[in-house]
Amino acid sequence: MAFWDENAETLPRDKLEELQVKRLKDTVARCRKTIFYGNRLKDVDESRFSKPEDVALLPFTTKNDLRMNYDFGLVTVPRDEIVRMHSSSGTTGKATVIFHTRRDIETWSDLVARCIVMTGANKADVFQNIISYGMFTGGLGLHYGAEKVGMLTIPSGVGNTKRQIQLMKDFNTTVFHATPSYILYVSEVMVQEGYDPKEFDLRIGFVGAEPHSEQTRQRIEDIYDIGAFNSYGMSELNGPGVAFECEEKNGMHFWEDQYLLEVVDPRTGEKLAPGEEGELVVTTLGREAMPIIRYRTGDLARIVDDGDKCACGRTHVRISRIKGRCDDMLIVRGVNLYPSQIEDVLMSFPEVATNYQILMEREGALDSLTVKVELYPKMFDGDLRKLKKLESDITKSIQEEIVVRPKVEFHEPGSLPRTEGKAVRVIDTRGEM
Amino acid sequence: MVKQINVFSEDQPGKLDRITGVLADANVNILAVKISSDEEYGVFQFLVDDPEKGFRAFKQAGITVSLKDVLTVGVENKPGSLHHMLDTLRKDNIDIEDCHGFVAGREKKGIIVLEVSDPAAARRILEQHGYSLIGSSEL
Repeated sequence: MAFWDENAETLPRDKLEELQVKRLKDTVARCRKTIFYGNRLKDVDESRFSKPEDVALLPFTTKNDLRMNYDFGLVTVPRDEIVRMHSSSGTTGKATVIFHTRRDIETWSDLVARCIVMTGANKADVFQNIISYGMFTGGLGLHYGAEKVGMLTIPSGVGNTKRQIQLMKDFNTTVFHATPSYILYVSEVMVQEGYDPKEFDLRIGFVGAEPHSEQTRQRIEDIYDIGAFNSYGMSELNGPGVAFECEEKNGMHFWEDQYLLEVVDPRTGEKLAPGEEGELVVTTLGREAMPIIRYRTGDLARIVDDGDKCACGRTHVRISRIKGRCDDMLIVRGVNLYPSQIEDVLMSFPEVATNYQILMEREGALDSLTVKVELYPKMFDGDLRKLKKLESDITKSIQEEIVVRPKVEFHEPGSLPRTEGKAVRVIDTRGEM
Repeated sequence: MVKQINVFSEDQPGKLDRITGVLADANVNILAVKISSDEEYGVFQFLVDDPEKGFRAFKQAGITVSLKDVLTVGVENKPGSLHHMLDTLRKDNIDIEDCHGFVAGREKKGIIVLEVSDPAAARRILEQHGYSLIGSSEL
């Protein structure tokens, strides 16, 4: 069992919580340097904080607060101490910017190094970082962590799929980082080019930046014959390296010495019981340039509460897969559902390829839900009746999962739009009437 | 065994054009075609002079395609001959999964393309009853 920072990763709970309280107090004090938090924290007396739960006495910070404080409004250090700026991918609304000091970059890279080593990867590995660089944090975040671990790091970025495959082959890539949709697409291109995805030296994949299901992970693992590890992070919280799976793959360890985690009811903001699913709310505990208090991530998950310490020996709490975002939730004919539920069903059918799209339209007064899927060429045997049967099987399985009966449409492989960054899976035209 | 090319296609304007274009460009001659479709998608079945070549051409064009074994049976070009042949198979419990036909040659012979549950048994039964099975080279 390998550790990057064994002491920090296995810190006994009481010591970890003590550290959290101390760092929380420091963070509050630091935040007061900004006008925004100075006003908000007027009535807070952090010197009386005695346990991590006291964080609930502080106000939330929302994405809108970050936007309102564009550009340097939340920075607590002199401008010349800042060495890096990042920006969110702008999946929802206007972009937000985050700043880092040199020490922030060091701390962040250390967290990413913990994640990498936790999966069993090490300095002997060749690491291909198949993800956007630039303002998006996924590229540089993993890059710095991988170099810290000492891996041969190939900053291949995303796109030019044939070249990605060539790099894997020529430099014997053993570890990659990619979004689930893109790495599945790479496997399709490998097959088209006459390769077996299993014939490469790949052994570990870091999969993140898009919520994905357990079925999708298994599919990636089966196609490449590798171990795939789920990654969690967001630019507001540095980026990747907030939480990651260990070799047990039973939830992602959330680095609590640097992030104070709460799970709240997204509507009321009230704290939920351990194991209940809700919105992740996170306070940075070590960030210098731009500390954030009780950030509403919009991500939905739960704490893995199986009563036991993880077999890997780490004491940091684990979170489940991200089920979706609060703002991902679709309401169709009055029923709440998440795209991940539909994805789960689709991925359980081997006849269906990895790309899909969910389309919501209004037909008269009724919502209609169409699920477009691509056929997997290998599974096509030319029989129209089998296709009709498959269509009705998929329709039934989805209906069992989400209650609403969808219309399932088959499309030719490669015909649904795909993006190399975050895939646009859901199209809702109901508001456009 | 004769092989038939089955192609999956979305039902959209221009799709048939694209598919037949692939065979034209590959210089593959179509002997018979059958199209089965519902509103959104369909399957094109092609009997061609060079199935392997046609199959490769579709693959290269990124079209979803499969090759399937079929029986091609010669029948007399007169009323009742198709009925008689199918009846022969039915009596021996052979299931017909798919069937289409065309007329070929100067003598205007009927050729029936069959997908059946048990091709080997169907072949034996048809031969016992004096039907001629047409090989790919004769087509």
